[in-house]
Amino acid sequence: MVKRRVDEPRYEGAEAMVGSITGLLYPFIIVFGMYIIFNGHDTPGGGFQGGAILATLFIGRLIVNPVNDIHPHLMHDVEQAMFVLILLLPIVFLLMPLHRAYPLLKEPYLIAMNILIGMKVALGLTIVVFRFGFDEELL
Amino acid sequence: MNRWITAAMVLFLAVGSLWLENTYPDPQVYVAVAAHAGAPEEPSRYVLDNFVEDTGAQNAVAAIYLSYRVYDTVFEALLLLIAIVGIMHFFRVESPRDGEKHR
Repeated sequence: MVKRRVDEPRYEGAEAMVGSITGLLYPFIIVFGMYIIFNGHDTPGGGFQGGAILATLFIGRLIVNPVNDIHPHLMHDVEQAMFVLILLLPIVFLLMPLHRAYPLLKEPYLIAMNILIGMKVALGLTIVVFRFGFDEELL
Repeated sequence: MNRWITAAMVLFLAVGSLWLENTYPDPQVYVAVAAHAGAPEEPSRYVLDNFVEDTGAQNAVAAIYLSYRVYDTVFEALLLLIAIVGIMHFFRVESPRDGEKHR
């Protein structure tokens, strides 16, 4: 594995092309993933799908520039916090029937759940791919 | 500290499930399931007819996995979390930032 500095990635030859094109794709990946997540309650899609698309941001970056510079434990802690919120939000909103008392909150509830699931899935898939890649020295 | 947080969450879940009878689907879904055990299109017909006013979603799939069967989603999230806990535990990678092996 070639270890490089993160802040100055050095691309040579064909790698430069791949790096440039992938860098060009980052904002589109972010916008597409956010669109899938935020419209998950109205159109096909949802948290899991949008989260997987957001995870391809990190995975594409890993393919272009294989540096193990994420903070997996911090991401894991954030993911656990997301899971706690995913657990608490339906309990508060559905089991204690706030959805009957406040029907206007139904749609914000769906959007909030999709955002939480999307963030959790994106962080989780990123951790998995980075762990598998650098454990076997595949990259 | 983590133990107390876990205990509080379990207690909250137990207290929350006391309100289970007030959640949708409305009881007529179970009546439909019981009365038409051989006709499984009845509950799905109920969902398709009522999901917009029940959940506020325009997408029936989102209505099902975020409202009618939200426990499925919760346990799926738990499944993913447990898988990642196992991966974090068994794949110890030396990170250049931390210098040391991870815990």
